[in-house]
Amino acid sequence: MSVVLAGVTKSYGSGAAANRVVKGIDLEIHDAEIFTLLGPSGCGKTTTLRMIAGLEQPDSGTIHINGEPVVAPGRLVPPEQRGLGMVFQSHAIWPHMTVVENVAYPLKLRNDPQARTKALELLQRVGLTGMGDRPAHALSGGQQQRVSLARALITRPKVLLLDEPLSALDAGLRVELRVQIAELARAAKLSVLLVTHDQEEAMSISDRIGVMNGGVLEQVDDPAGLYRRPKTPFVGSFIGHMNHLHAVRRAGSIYIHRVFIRESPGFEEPVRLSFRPESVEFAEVGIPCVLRSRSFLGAFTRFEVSVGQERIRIDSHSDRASNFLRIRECMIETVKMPTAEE
Amino acid sequence: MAALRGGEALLRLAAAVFLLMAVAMPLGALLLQLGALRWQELPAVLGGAFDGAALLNSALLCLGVLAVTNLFGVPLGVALARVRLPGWVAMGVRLPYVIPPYVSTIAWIQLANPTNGLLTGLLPLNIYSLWGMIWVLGLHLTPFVALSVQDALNRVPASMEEAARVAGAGRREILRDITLPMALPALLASAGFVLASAAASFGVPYLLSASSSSPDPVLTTRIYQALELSPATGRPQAVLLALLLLVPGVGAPLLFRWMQGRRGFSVPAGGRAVEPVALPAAAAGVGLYVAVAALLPLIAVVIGSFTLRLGAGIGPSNLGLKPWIDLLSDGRLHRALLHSTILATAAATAACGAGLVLGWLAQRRGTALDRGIAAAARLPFLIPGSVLGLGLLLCWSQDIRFVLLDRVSLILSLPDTLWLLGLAYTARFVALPLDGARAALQSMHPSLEEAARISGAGTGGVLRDVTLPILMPALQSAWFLVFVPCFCELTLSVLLKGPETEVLGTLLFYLQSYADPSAAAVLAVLVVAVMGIGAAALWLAGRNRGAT
Repeated sequence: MSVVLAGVTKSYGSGAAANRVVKGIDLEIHDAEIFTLLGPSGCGKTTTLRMIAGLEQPDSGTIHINGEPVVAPGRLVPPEQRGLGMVFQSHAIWPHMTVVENVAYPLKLRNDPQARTKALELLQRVGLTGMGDRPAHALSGGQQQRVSLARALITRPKVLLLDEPLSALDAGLRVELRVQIAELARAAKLSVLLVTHDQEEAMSISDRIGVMNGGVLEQVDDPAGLYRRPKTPFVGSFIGHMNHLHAVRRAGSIYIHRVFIRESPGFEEPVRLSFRPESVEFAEVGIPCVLRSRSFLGAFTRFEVSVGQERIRIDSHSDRASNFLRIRECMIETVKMPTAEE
Repeated sequence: MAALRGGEALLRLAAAVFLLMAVAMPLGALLLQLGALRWQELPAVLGGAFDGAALLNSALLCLGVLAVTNLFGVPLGVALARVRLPGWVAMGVRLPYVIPPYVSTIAWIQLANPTNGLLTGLLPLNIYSLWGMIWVLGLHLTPFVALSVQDALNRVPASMEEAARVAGAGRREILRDITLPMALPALLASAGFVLASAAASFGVPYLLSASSSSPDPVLTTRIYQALELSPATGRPQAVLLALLLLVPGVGAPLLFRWMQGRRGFSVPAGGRAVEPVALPAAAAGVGLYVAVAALLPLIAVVIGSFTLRLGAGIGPSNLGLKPWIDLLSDGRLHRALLHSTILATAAATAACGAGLVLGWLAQRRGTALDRGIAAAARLPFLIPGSVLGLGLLLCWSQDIRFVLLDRVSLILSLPDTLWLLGLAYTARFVALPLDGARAALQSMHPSLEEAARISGAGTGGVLRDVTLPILMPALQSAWFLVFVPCFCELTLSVLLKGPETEVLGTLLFYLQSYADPSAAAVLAVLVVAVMGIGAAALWLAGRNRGAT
């Protein structure tokens, strides 16, 4: 285990006004694994990463890095002694140093006589050959982020922390750089913790993803598992698109507008069905629907249809629609309703 | 459209006339005087002008003040940016810079003069020497360095220092390798300003040498003496001295700007700022500076203003209201107060008007001519006050007669009038509203004015309904920023005032040097009180703006 968090909490402010940002996180990042914390802004993912880095102090809980306790009762290792690599969202390239001085700085602090040589070598590997002696501020955003990456890797850390490293870059560069980061990390057998709000970025390079919401880690799984078996409605709708339809359960079966959907033992009560756009299709008979729009998107066609008052999305390989739907796969949740007295 | 062009032409004409009277003619007069020198006269003029001591003293004063301001200012700036301080301490750091330097000079004379100062013996320093000037000016200018450093450090995003921590740097290494190097451009800029201010300062060295038996002369006091002693032979000498004064006065800021440009980086703004830490020792240090540089002198002048005979101790028998009653019933004070109020009000209003016009032309029209005019209008603020005063004196000390078509003649008779002082003050400080208006216009997206135009407003309507209301807060601040220094101006006034145009600065100067130091202390307290009211008004204006 490279990084282990147990019961970690963090609040800002105190008393009644305290803002609980991280509400008890348990997390293990394996050796040589790319692990992503994914969630909307304000969900506590960056705070979690900064507590691992040592830039924030947890209120409670323990953190181990490479088997060594860095946060434990009576023990708090400062960031400079944790031996991590970190890339910041804002690049944090020091403008008063040249490119190579930026990269070599961690080695200089460790009195490595070959700091400059090693930094130049690493700059080559991240695709900045010959730019070592340029002033750092003269680089483009993408180049600055490569410098930042090289600086994080120069001490050959076992754990690399990436705090929204690509969000300040444009789309094409983002894809190129994230592939490069993944390659570098796998070649060096690094454990990587990536923090991002971009689900595509998370899905494309992660071994496992932890989805955070409101300071809580809602689900940890591999990308396919998250998409196919979301454990909470939040995870379902945050990863990919999720359709919702209201339905009722009667005598062990689910119905929408009196159309039988599937068997489901349980109380007789209103329920909500959640399903992906590709888990529903047009059929000869089924749930009646009205076509609202149709967009041809190349590999598939996207339909927006309404079912009663509700709207859903259908992604289909065929571009033909009909007036009935069939749901192939769905999740069923009970809906909280007013109590019987009311 | 024709009307619009006519209006703009009128604005440009007004700007040109102002610039001619306030900048071009005075500086031209300096050059003419210089050109009139004959080579064979040069040794005599030079010999009379300076004995080398003034030049050396001015250089030492500059370097000494630079050393003191950085010695105190850099740690203060780091503390302001990185240590959690009580609000009054953080605000109090500005105080020594806001108190007029001649007020603190009067205070330090009372505190540390060699015969009967309140602290004499405690402070190993002869206040009447060059060291005294360095001490008083250094304390006065320290906040400028401290606030520059603080501003630079506050703009460093926290991630810059965090990246160093994660890379393995401890707090000391971060300060040495990351934080201070990034404050270097700000330090260079402030060093240029400090050198220029020290070279140009007149009130501090003059007051300290006026009471001394063997005064240390500097360039600014020599210029004043040369003109006082003999107007005829003094003028060429003064012009030569003024030329020397331009070297540090204008050269230093340019040199340091160039060095700053060669460092060639700007700290990227944005991101979270660094969280300040609790460090009681540092907070105490900042408090000590505020106490020594601001509270102690203020207390000294207040006590001095109630002291019947300065130097005879501060026992109950020697304290009383007499100095206040005497001064407040003195006709000279009433006249000076009236003059200073009229002049400061008029100059602040005129400078705001001129600054708005010049700034609008430069920022919105932006032709080379408009930008050139705006740059020229900043000159009187950039050169030392003594040089500007000398130029205005040479240019306007006689009546100037314009004859039009052999028939109409206009006589411009400014010497010894309030008009001349008003022109001088306006010329000196027009740069402040000009910069304020330009900055406000720059941050105001042109689309705001374009939207008004599309809505149907003409140029006048756009200016009246959109531009002016949006610029109003900036102009209000600028008005106070001009009013306050004009109200207690000394350097220009001492050269340009006539027998009937005494102002507060010159009256204070006269009282302290020749007449009655207790009365001078009373006047100093009055000046500080008015400045305090002005600052409060400025603060209130800003707060009300924040509330709406």
